[in-house]
Amino acid sequence: MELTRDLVAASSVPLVLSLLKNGPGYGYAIIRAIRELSGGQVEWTEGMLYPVLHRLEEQKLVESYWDNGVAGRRRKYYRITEQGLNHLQFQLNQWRMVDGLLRGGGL
Amino acid sequence: MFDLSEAVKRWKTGVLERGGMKTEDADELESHLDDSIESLRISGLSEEEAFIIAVKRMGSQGLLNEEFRKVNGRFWKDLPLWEKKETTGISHETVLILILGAVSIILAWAFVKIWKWDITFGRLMAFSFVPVITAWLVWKYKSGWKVSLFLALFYGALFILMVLYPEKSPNHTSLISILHMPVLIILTAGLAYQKGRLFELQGWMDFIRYIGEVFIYGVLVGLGLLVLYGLTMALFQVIGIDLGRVFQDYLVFITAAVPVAAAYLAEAKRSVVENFAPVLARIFTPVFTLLLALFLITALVMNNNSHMARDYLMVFNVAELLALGLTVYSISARNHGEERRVSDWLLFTLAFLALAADIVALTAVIGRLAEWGLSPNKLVLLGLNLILLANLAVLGTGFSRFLFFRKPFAQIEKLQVMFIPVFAAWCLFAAVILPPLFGFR
Repeated sequence: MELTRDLVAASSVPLVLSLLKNGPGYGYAIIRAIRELSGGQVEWTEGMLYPVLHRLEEQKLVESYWDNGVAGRRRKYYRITEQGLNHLQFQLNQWRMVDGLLRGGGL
Repeated sequence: MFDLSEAVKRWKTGVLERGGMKTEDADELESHLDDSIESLRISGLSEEEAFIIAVKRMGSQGLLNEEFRKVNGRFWKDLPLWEKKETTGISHETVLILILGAVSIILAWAFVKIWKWDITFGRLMAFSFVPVITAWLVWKYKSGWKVSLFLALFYGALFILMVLYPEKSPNHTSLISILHMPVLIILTAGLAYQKGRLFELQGWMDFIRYIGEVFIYGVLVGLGLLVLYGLTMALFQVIGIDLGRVFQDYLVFITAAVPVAAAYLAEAKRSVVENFAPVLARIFTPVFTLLLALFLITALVMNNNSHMARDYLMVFNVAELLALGLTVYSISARNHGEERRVSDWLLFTLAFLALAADIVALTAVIGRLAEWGLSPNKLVLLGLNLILLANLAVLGTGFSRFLFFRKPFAQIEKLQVMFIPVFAAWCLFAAVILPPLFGFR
């Protein structure tokens, strides 16, 4: 089942923040994680993800750092901030509310 | 022999050349490409195959740059003005604007026909285009019949008054009306801009932004028109035709359409272009602040206030207006959530210095006011000065609360928006109530 474009766009921020909550990550790994978690149904493109990450950084919800890592591979990592955690909670509440409404009333 | 690192380097240069991306972004994408290639190689592809597929998967080159450009905020180059999905020719709105422009031109011509190039015409000038633009805003934003009715009655009443007011020399009050009436009706047009929600902060801040953009577009289009006028006259001069008469009787009224065009442009480009006014404000704020600081220091050191005559009050009005304009338009582009930055401190300094400079001027002037006696000009200059002073003081207070006490930024905007009715009331007083008070002199 493929998600509509609007849904992919709307869910991108909470999904990214939610993934980063478990630990810092970099773009390629995030895309791979979403692909695996959704069983191949959700394929994010770099064109979508990186602007989202940059916007989140602008809004101070995440912060980035470069890491030289293993075998000299340089990657830009993102980690969630305190504000980001708060925003994630806010987003989760919103989605839970919508989910509750869809299931028929229980908020 | 395929050289992978060479290929990646060339790809990266290509990406950077297409623009819209910072170097760091390109580094990030390169890192992504490397990961992609690595994963493909693990599944058995050759270097060349992995490179080709990884690049293909990165999506169309142009699109990637497009996305980054949007985030980095520089996409004005790419979006044409009349980009409409329907290729059915000119859109409804364009036709409407052309008609409205024509209406303005005809109104201006009619006014001159009836009232010649008299002072009365001066008072009525703004009525040739502001009501037209307001009508367009009412239509576009569906402001509702209450707003429409109020504006129609209000403009109508003002128009009649301006027609009926007599002119007695030396016509100072008329000049004051001429200057204040346009501002009054423009500010009231803001009601039409609010889409019916009359007391929302953001709506009025948007309107302030809008006016700034209209002004700048107006200046640009106006200058272009001036060049066109000059060129037309000169060209026809070459073949021996003097357009002077034609110009004066007909062509000059095209100028009335300039504000209409500016209003349309400012609205059409609203979500697409970064606003001009804040950009200009950002450039001029530091310079002007420095200038004010130098002035204040010099004035205090020299202590030579005997030169303060009534004319200098006008200079300070202009300085205050400029300081206010710079501050308001600097804050108009600011995001709410941002932390305090150097530019905020700069604006606070500007407001404070303008305030101080004006107080210096006022203390010197107040004493002499008694000896000069009261006249319409002095009253207006003084009144305007005091209002601007109050506005700057309020802004200064707002900024100090934001900078020192970490109050939210929005309260500064709220304070500024509250001054709009103050200015409107002042213009109403100056344009309508003042003249009869002074016997229309």
